[in-house]
Amino acid sequence: MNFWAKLFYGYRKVAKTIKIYLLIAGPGLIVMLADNDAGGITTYSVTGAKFGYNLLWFLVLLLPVAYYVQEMTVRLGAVTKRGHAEAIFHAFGSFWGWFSLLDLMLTDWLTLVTEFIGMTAALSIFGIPPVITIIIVSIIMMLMVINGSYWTWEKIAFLFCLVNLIYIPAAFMVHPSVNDVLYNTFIPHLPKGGFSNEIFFFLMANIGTTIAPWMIFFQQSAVVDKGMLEKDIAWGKMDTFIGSFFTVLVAIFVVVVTGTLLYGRTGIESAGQAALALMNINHSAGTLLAIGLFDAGFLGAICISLASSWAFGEVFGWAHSLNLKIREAPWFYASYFFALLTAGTVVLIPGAPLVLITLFVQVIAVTLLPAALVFLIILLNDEDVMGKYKNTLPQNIITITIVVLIIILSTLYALTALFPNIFS
Amino acid sequence: MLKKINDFLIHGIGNIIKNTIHEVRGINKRYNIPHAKMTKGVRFSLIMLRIYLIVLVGILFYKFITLL
Repeated sequence: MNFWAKLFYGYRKVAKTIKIYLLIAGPGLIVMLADNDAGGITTYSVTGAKFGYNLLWFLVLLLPVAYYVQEMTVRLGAVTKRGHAEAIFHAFGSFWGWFSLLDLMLTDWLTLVTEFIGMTAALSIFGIPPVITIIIVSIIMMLMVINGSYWTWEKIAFLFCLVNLIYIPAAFMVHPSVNDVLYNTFIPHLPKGGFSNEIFFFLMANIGTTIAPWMIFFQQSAVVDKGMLEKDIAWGKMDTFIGSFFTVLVAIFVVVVTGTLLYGRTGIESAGQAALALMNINHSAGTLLAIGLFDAGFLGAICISLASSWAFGEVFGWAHSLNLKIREAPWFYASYFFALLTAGTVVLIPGAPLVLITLFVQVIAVTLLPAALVFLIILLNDEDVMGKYKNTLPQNIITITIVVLIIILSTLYALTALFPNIFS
Repeated sequence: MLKKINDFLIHGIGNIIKNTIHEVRGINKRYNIPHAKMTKGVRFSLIMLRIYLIVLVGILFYKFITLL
């Protein structure tokens, strides 16, 4: 075979691989980029403002954490054809089932409120009143689902995922020191002054934003709704890995933006404040940060509200697919719209305890996360259910270590949120 | 007219509650028996999970009481 024939053959092979990937890709990529939601962007922005580039290496460690947890949902969904809520009911009975479902409903709704807080804060920087933001966002989110096609919903979600990459050009606009960024990304170390309670809090916060209960429920249900089969598992894992890579990449670039221009500044407690402060120094970077914050809240909101609706549909036996029209799955869509409208309305109530809600999310999520993760490990070890797709010994060692660490750190994080002086 | 609306609301809400209870009972019946293999490891994990949740809810309850 001559050179040109080989080149053409190679090109066809790569093109075919990309084409298949684009058909299968979706749940992993979307859930991972939606993981960088309004709360996540706030955590990364404040981390950069407080510690500069010093904690970048820690974000790299979160890649395997996110991948190994979410990859299990792909296998479980593709093999059992059940969402996580239904799988818990089936495997562990109604007590654990109801506990998980009701806790998920509460956690998701509270998180949805925080997404709306993020979106309204982002657009208020451009002078758009919160009421307009909430009305427009709700209409867009309703339009995304009413066409009765999972494929269409996923491709629109992909567009918003692309906007999530806006932090990459923003980072180049602020001209960071590439050598410093690379050094801090690949050489683990602590900031000057050594370990402190504040650093510990931020390490826990960064882990807390990496794995959230809704992600487990969302990805497994999305795998089922997309109709992924056992033969698609390898593609689903690749999709999840690419998603994990991008979620960490985005997190690093957010920290680079705020770490370059806001490091050492006091009074930066949210992504909205970071965007405003950035606008005074570098207007374009500040604008991109604000747009990114809105997009992060939006991506989070579309996934979180669906996670709850899928879970309820699975358990109550309602028709629950984005491939169905509203008249074919009325309760599925009703619960989706209900969550959206009530969460949006709460943000508009004058004097609503939004700070308390944001704090409460972290605590309530910790009551659900350990249970969801433990159930995931147990289910993935059930040979009768998983067959050859059950966890191998190395997978168990890795995932159990990750799960134990997440449980310990997220519990400490919740305790610190409840009792700020507990470790001082 | 007001009486009709009142009756409709009471009956409507009553029916929704009745249907929901009926559905919940059906779900409890359907998932009455856990299907996971209850090995020693699984039983231990579930007991630890229960203890963890009881302690966590206790802490939350304590925080709530001290906040009031």
